[in-house]
Amino acid sequence: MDQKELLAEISSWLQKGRMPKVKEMVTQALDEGISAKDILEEGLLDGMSVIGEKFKNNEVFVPEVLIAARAMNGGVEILKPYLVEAGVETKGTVVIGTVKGDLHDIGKNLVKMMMEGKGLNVIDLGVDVSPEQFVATAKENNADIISCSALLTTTMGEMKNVVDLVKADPELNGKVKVMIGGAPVTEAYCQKIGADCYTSDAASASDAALAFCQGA
Amino acid sequence: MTLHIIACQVFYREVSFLASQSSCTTTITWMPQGMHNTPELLQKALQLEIEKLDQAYESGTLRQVPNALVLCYGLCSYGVAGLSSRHFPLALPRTDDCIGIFLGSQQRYLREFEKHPGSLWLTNGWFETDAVPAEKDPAAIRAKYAEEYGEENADFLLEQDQAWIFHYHACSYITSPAYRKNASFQERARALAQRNHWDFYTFNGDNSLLFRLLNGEFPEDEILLCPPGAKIFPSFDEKKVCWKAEKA
Repeated sequence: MDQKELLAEISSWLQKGRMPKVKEMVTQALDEGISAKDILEEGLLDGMSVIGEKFKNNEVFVPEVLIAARAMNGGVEILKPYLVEAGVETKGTVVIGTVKGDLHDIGKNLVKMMMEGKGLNVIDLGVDVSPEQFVATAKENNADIISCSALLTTTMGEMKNVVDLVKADPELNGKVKVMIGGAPVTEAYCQKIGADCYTSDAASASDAALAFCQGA
Repeated sequence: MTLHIIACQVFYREVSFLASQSSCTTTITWMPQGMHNTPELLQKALQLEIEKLDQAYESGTLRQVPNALVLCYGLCSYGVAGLSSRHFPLALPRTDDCIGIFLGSQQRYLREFEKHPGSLWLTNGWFETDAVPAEKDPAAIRAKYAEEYGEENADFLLEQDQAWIFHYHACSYITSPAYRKNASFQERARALAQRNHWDFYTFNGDNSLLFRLLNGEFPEDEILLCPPGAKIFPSFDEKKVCWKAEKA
């Protein structure tokens, strides 16, 4: 199997959500001298972008994306020391969590996995996170992005409180971007509360986060 | 006054009872419970019912011409966004979902929600019309995941699927004045709370908001009245919904 075939194979197993197989093939690829960067980009991220696209088109659903993202993270874990050695630095820091009062975290977990796959350092505050916690953690870790998730129309109003608190803080205003997402969140709502970015799915969220970090 | 009611089946007994007592003449369309899970389909289904009434009116075949179409819904994952009737005002409670309607007001719902954020709200109507999510057998869910996504993914998917159960703290059961006897549902709700190590609360249901809706009383702070030709939109504030004139 040449390099191209091997990376295509990794991408294919990832799309099937087969973590053990992905890990095995990533190890094999390293053994065969393929660079960690190529394995990541042409194997793992390639497979994940196929799944992300299929999800957008309703060809696959949340479980398929979850197991693919998990397979990707399995591969990324193996690659991490090699990426560090090769001088591939963390591309940015994201503080993520579900907003105060919201205890639904599947979407947030998915976004986290996708962002980690893109080489972002993600600090996961879990569920029911107050605006103060988001802001304090962003400061402590010199974060580039605060990423808030909500499943309920009852709780999404908390996103405005996060945006307001960031804007009121001279240390963070204009420096930290606030990204929002979740089933009830829309572009119209994002504009209404003055958040920096809304994305409708996890793949787009990780793309947008990376673009922010690289553009900033 | 004549009202045409379009109601989620979750309100079957409450709406049936209140319609029987209403000062208005009412006709009704029942919609399946659970469509909030597929809000785009809910929106299409509701608009289709409105369209049928508009067309019947236009062709002169509508026997009871309503003064308003009453929607027994809340925002319901935006399932009501974009709804519009060419001929009839649309009346819609300003609530996030059915819980505010069962509790009698959005304010009461928000007060209780704030006290118990991680709470599964249950009503008799839900028990009667649909499966209750946390009652599903985890072993059966796991087996389905194993079959579809492989043994190696089954535990992980089950964990993701059930995570909310671990994050939740309580089950909040709402009684209903429209039920003569509802102890069995209350016991089921209590058992569910016990099984998941949640606190258990009982709230007295309050039909006053539904009563006003079904009697053609539409106070602006509680119920949106969207004029014919205009569309319903989420307002993203405490009023929950607003209407905007359709662009010509």
